[in-house]
Amino acid sequence: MSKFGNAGKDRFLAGFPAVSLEAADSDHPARCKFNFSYFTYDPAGQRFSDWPQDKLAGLFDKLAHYGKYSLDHWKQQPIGKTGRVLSIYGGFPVRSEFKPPKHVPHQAQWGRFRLDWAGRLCGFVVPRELDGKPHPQGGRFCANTFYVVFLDEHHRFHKGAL
Amino acid sequence: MPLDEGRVITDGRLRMEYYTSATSDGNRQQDSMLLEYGLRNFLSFKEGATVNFRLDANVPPRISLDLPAATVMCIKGANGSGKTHLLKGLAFLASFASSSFSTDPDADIPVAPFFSSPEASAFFAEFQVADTRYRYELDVHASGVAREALYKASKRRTLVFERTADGVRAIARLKALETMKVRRNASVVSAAYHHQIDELLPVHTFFKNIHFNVGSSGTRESLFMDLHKVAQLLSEHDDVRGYVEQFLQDCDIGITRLQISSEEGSDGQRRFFPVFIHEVDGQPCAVMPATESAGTKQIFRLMLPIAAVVASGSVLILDELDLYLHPHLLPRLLGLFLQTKAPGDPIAQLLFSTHHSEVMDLCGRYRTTFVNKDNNQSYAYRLDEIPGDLLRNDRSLVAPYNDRKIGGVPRL
Repeated sequence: MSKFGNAGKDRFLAGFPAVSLEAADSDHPARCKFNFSYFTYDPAGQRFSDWPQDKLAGLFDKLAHYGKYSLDHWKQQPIGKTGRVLSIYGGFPVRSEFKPPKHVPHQAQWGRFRLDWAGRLCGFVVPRELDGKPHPQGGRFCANTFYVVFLDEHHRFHKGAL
Repeated sequence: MPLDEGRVITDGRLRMEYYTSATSDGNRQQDSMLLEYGLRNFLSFKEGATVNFRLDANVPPRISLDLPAATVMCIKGANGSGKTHLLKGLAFLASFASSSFSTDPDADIPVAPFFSSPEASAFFAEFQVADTRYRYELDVHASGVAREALYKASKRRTLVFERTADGVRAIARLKALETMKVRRNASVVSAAYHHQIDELLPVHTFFKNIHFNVGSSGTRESLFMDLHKVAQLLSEHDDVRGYVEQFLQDCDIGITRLQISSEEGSDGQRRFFPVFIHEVDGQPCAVMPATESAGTKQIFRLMLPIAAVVASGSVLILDELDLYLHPHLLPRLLGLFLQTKAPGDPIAQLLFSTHHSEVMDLCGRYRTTFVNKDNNQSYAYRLDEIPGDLLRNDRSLVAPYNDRKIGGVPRL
């Protein structure tokens, strides 16, 4: 440190965040979001309280990781022999042990995140054509948000699919 | 009227040259600017602190005024953070460099190290006079100077003189410094001035023209906070009285005229005082200082040094600029230092502390220095040293300041 340097100043200035939402290289807008407000229980699936703590902790670790990238990114990421981390089917799967919940909008594009060998996080996204469009009540639609509806520990949401 | 008559008004602008006995020796300084100063082991600063006025090419011209250094520097911080101590560092350095030759030969140097640390207190100032840059360094104990040095750079930096315990060594044309007698409690610069060694005159003049309202531990007290002394000086300089009167009128504080009166005191000396003339129902009403508002008296006091510094192009240090003043008056005061300069115009600089927050947006991040305290030790940083884009030229500084994101606020 120079004669007129100051360790307190250096510590203070070193404590500022190194990143910015507005930085040209920020990936913030691309990071996907998870929304749990449509979550519901179906006898084919589980409640959060049905999962042991270590399994829930594993789920949140996965969510933290998935949240670093966009949904489009995860649609491209391979997993297993021929699967993808995120698959969007469109309509509610025909071969499903779950029942379509009435509180989910009819425009929902149903899909699932793969959590492990049999575990799935099932839900929907809004259609691409609504992305960024304003809603009359305020706010804008976001096609980079995954709305979680079911916990599917035993791969019963879309039987036959990976 | 020519400048050598001391004061004229040219093109409606004040051209007062000097206003106190301290600056009445006719040494008009060439264009000069303070670029940076620093201190270490002084009052609440155990480690170093610098106040950097330099503006680089990244600074927008509307802020830099196409000058190499800022003309205003705002010092902000919580109560007790060390703002005044930071100002006192420059006041001490200026006072010691220019005036220590005239102090009591047996007196201690009025320097206050961090909690009585036995180490020397250290100071430096970098400034330019015309095309020459100087760096003055001083390491000092109360008992005497440990080291004093002056560097000079037009194209490359050279050591002009260095004083240590072994004596003074100097460049060839200043060998007179090596034989000059300098007391332990006086600076080479002030001694050289009294020995009429002209080579150091620009340095002496630069420091001597720095005015302040913070005590520098007694080496050179400011005149301008004494209402009667201000009044006496204005009585001798009617153009300055007119300048102050005009500013008082512009401030919308109800003053229509500023009159200077005097009376004979019990000691036989004349005592000068201002009389503030207000107009009520078309009739002039005189208000004496005892009943005039504190804010009006504060503007009256401040305007003398401001007028002098703006006219002569030197440095003014004002602690608590906003004391008694309405916040809307501050931009008007700062505006006197923020006007675009024509080539050859004197360049005045104002270093001030304030608790007023909105002034930060007038000064911006390049012209605002914060003082924080950690473990009872102060440190200082200019706001453009904060990394990233937290602070931007096109956004207010007040919001992140109020959100406690950039320091300078008390931890309540």
